[in-house]
Amino acid sequence: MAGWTNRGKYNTLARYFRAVAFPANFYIILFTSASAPDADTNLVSDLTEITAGNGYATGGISLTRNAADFDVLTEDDGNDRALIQIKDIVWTAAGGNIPSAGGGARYAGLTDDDGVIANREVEEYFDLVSDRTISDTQTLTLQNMEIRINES
Amino acid sequence: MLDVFRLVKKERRLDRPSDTEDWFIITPSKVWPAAIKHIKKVLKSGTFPSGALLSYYTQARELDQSAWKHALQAPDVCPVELRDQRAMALEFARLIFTEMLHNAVGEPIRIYIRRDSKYRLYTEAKVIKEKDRTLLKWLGFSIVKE
Repeated sequence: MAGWTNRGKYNTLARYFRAVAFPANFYIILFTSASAPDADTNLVSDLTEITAGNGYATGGISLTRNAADFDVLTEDDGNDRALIQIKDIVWTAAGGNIPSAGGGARYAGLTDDDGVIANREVEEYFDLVSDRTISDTQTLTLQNMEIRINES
Repeated sequence: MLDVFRLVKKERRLDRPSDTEDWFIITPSKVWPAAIKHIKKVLKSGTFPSGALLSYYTQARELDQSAWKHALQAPDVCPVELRDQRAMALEFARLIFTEMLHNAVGEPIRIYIRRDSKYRLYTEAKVIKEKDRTLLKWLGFSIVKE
């Protein structure tokens, strides 16, 4: 499953309608299955990030707020919604597996860019369906992660 | 090969007068039948393209075959028990066509999908909610592990 966290919904409204400052960047972080994200997830500290090393850096991969990183934007009158896709996110394992220890990556989360990684807010989450371990020299690519706004 | 540029218009939108960039305009009655015809052909061939499309096709072949037929009919015509499958087929048509268009353009794109109740995912305001995604819970992104 994929979905907005309520914190992500709130942040989106606050930033747009109250001119609350946008983060300069977002991040895609990988989490283990130790804690499942849901609509009530707030912070990275609510979840368990995979162990860093071998090509995975703590805090994940940075995204810039621009068309290059959020590369497909759709207004859908057919289903009363709007959608945006994130560019392909790639991790390559080098020198050993990703994660270097502990559980595999079960979830990906889109977060803001707070300087303290544990305090970053989780805006959106994606279920990778099963625990993912990237073998040395292999890659994991998350393609076309899509964020949707529906009125239902 | 589906000629995506033949199916969409690239133009400014009159309802966005201050917008100075083009959109790719999708007219559902023109694009979705062509996309579904193409998808069925690729699924039948068993030879799938690489990248995100490979992942989409691998997942799309798990759908009930009748879903593709129902996707071309209004949602209220579809048997209740197949409505989620029909909606998934339409979502795959959108995702696959979008990916093909994005690949063909080779740069960030904006898409506008016109209203057409025949191709709505569900009859009412219902959308694919989390509980409906349990059937195919990967929908919304794809994973490639090499």
